[in-house]
Amino acid sequence: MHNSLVKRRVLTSVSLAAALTALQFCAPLASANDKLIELSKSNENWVMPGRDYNADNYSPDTQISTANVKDLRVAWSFSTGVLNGHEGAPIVVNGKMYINTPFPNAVFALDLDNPGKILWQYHPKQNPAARSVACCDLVNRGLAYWPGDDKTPALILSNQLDGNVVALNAETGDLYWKVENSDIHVGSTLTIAPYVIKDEVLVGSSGAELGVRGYVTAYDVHDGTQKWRAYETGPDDEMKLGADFNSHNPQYGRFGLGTSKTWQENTWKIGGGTNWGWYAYDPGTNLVYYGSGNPSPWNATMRPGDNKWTMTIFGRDVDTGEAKFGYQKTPHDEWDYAGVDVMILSDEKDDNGNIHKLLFHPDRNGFIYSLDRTNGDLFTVGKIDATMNEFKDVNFKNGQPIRDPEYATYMDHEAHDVCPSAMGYHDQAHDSYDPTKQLFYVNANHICMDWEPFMLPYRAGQFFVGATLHMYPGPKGDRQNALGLGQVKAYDAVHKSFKWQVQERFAAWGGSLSTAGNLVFYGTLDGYIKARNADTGELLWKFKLPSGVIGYPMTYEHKGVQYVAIYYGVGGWPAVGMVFDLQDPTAGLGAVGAFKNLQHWTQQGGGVMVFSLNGQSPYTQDVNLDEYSTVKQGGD
Amino acid sequence: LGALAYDGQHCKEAGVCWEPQPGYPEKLAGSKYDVKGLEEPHEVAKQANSERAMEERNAKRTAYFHKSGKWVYDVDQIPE
Repeated sequence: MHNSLVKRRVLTSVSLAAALTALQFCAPLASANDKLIELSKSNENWVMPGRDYNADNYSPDTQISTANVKDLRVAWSFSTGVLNGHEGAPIVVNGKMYINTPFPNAVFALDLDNPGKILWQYHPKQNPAARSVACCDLVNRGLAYWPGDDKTPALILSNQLDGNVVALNAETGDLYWKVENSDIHVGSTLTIAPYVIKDEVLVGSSGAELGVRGYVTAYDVHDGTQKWRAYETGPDDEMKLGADFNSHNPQYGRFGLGTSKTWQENTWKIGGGTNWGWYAYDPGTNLVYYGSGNPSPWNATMRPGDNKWTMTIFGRDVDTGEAKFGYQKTPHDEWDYAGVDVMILSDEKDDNGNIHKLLFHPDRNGFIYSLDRTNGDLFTVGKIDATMNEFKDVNFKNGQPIRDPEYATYMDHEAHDVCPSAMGYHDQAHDSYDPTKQLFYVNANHICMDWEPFMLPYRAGQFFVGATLHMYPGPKGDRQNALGLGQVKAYDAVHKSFKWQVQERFAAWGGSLSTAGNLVFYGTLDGYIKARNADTGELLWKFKLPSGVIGYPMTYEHKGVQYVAIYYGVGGWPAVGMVFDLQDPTAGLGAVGAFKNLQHWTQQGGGVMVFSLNGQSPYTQDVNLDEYSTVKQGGD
Repeated sequence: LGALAYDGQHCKEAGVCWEPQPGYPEKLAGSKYDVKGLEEPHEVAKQANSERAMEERNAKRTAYFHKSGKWVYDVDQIPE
């Protein structure tokens, strides 16, 4: 390929253009992430958050199905030895399971042939002060894997709360490289999972509750070299807006909007927009998709303007970091609808038989966006629940949401009954999508709020929030008893309709797994893993875990047996009251009041539970496996 | 709040649609809602300064890794 290209360079510009087109087409296939794409096709692996680059948490495995899910039992389990919220999911590759924990962000490798023996473990030493600048529990959303090449071994990538990014040898756990991405002294931490594309690892940022100006960084996976860094506010060059940025949708806004046109004075320098959610990647467009978070501070009166490009769905070229499109969902945020939620890629057929290359994104603000992922066009915008009230709809002509001023927030005013609350109708849940049914399985929240801002100064390293919140169940929940705070729904993005929906006792915070066995799995804050019929929503199976769930289930096959694994260990924003023993209903940024009854169903924990049909495991196959010695008859 | 309240539909230019709530200032400066701390340039510059310093330390680490094949995180321990 490359030799023939060199020869063609001496030919006419027409054939050169043809060759470049061919190169663009072939380039993703020629790179090392090929291995990751190949690995993700096997039912024996789960190599990245979301399972593959579509990030659809969908497994074609059919061994566990609606017919036999009632026989699902615990196969084995593992305690991480850490409390606090356990987000994300394990990674499984080449017969090993890799497990992440909350702060201090230990990493464990287990051998699936004998998971009782820990192959290696990594326990970073971190400055305990990192804990004090984490807004919402000491969580971490997972690990990434890079398959290795002839000069560098296979690596496990892990982000630490103290802002360091580490690359560990996947076979030995030895530190390979370690770089500083974020500085806790200015309030900047890391909770996001790293994301590997080609030979680079993407790392996001956290800290908009402390006025941190968000950025995303790409490092060379071989040696930690910084390849590019793109900010979410500020001058165009620092935000890395490509020359064709939003050329297809100029009504979204294009250049020069990250500073004085949508911010006043230098507020953009402390303007938030951190990205701590999830990524998806399309090798065809070579774009990585993610959302930027909320502007700082929460007190919107202190930052007049649209506050671009916070709250934005970005499509960025992974090689250069340049943004091809950016759609701002929530201009001038007044509710902390941090726009970081999951991105799932789908190719969907409409009623005329046309295929659309889409990007699905349920947002904190209550809308479910479906965009054309090649150019950022709005395709459909639905509502997670009809009870959302701060926006009436989205105006497709100018791309702007139509605000209902009754639910606005501003100084010297207490807003009431705003839906969704700051926790969103959807938060960090990594949802799933079944491509055979064209259905998304959305883990939603059903929480509304009262909100009153207050003035406060900016001091680097200190919290910069400026609002007092009361949160409580939405209209379909039980406000008297603070229950009915969540929903799980099967959503059709083409028709903006729900095939089924069910109310949950608490927010469905973790995300879902869907499988070709016609099942959708998810964990709940009150400590269950559940399986529902993917067509009907009927509850078919559940198991009581040691603690509540804020991660998503994953599945893999090992030696012919399909397993379903899930982290337990309640925490994150909804459980800050329990984790830090808080009583004031407005504490924990308002979450304590909403989740005051969580303690009656669960306590803290931390670990992995692995399920299989009838509990088959290496130990049921051979009870003497991992024994120190076996019984001998007689003798001395 | 009446019918004139900010609804996000009156754009000065593409992507610039913010309006003050009725009775609220158009400009922060000099209003009672001005952000304290912004007038101290060193406070607002702390994040960018910290990021450049981290980038410099990371570049030293990577350079020594290329030279020696060993990763030394503590930049004070990196041989000249």
